[in-house]
Amino acid sequence: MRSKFVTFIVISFLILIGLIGWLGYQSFSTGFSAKAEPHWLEVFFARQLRYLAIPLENRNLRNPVPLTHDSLKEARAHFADHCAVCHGNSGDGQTPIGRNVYPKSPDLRLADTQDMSDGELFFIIQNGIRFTAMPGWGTGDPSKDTDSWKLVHFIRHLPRLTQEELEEMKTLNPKTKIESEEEAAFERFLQGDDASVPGAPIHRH
Amino acid sequence: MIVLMLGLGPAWAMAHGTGQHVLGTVVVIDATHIEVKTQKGASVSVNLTDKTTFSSKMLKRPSGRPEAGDRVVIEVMTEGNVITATEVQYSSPKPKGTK
Repeated sequence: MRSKFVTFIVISFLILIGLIGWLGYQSFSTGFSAKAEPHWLEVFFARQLRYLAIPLENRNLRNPVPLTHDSLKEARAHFADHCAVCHGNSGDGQTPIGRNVYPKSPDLRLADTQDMSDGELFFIIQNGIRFTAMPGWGTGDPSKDTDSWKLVHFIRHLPRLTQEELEEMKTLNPKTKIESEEEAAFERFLQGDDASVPGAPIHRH
Repeated sequence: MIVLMLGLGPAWAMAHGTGQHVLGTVVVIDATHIEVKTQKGASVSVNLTDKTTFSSKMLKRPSGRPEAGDRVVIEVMTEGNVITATEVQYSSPKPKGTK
């Protein structure tokens, strides 16, 4: 009986060593890249940790800011100015930054985000998420918390965002001088000005 | 677990491109791709997906999509040799200097 147990322990140990060796080989032969897609196991544990990181008291908070046309409009402008650079105006995360950070910016319109409680969304906006690109925007000033609660309303609205709202948000996105010039050149091209066309068929940002 | 999490990541690596644009005139468009002729004469084929958005400040077409002959500015992302459109802006102007 004892010898069987010892054999089991030795075999388990050897399998563990082999597994660590294989993972080490994988890591050293491929390296780490922020462009990688997280493995489902990593996603699972990361989401569990994110859930545990939000205190129960905060998780159960309800949005104290009434949902009105004005509060939604204000949050839309806020999102376009502060959040869209990573999350995209539509919340799909398909931006040069959102696609290339690790983990990727999630599609905020999907159930993974929409199923979270108001309190969870608020906590994440205020405190960020460790080991991700999501910063914490909380200032410790309760009077400014209302902006984050309005953003929670807007995140809930993302799946029903209209084309008109998207167009308005484009005008509110912060732009560098180069981006402004590029956008103006694209507009002139669309209006028939051939001189605006960049030299290469594919223009990199 | 940390070793497991760190080790498994690289095995599922995917390459993504950065923000790029294709400018030109539509030659052919169907549900899955759009072929654009650039002003320098090059032909670029871009895939369309259900996530591709279309917009035009000048036109309102029932299909909501550009047609052959329209000018387009396409925001794309590349993965290897595959070019996929994320956003298509289009218009149907006459080039300046024509009547």
